[in-house]
Amino acid sequence: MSQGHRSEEVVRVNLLFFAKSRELVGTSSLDNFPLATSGGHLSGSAVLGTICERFPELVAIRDSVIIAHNEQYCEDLTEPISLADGDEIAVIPPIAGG
Amino acid sequence: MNYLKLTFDKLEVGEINDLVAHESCGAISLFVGTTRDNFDGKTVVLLEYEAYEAMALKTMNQICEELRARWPDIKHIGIHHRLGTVPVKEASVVIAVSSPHRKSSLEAVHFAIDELKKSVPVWKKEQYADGEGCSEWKENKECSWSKSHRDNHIL
Repeated sequence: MSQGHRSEEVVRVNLLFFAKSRELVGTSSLDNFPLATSGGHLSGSAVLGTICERFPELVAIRDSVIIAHNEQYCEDLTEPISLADGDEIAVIPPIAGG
Repeated sequence: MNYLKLTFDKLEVGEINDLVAHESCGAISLFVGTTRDNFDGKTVVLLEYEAYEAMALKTMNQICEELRARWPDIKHIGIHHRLGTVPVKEASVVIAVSSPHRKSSLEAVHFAIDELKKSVPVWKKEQYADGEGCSEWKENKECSWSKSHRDNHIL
């Protein structure tokens, strides 16, 4: 491995699903979901991609959802997220409050 | 004080008004969002709300901070959002703001509902009358990752 290359590290996060994503997946949460990260970092789209591999039924809405990491929106899915065991990742379809 | 609540109970506008009332204030402004009985010519019989509760309360609190930064004379803020089944015509959200004079509270309430639609993780599903296509998850146009928002802001 070249110098400065961050090592692969599996981080286990707790997933939450809401609204249409909850209906499609058939559950509202899943604990200890493994994510293969690079030194604890992974882009939002890679997180979403891993979730969609486990739950292919989400592929249909993949382009219309974002995720939240520890109750913070990750609206720009290209941005890297710094992840640790026990973090919370929520699948967030377009909101409709009010 | 900020009075923030997510509740499965019916919202009582008078109660929220009384929460924000204060002897130093000459104004309470209220916004009451109610559930409509129609969409796109279809009859809506029922609405179901759900929330990412912890994050919803956090974002409601951020809205309060923003209101107080913009209108420092605000006294109390109340934001109550109903969850679960809401029959048509009933309130799904009530926002109440008290201030010494009316300008601050009027402007703050308007700003608060716009921000709520943009940022608070709450979802709504409309159930339609028989034969009109059963149900649909709604999307606020204010939500930056909603379809209508994306269509209007070509990326």
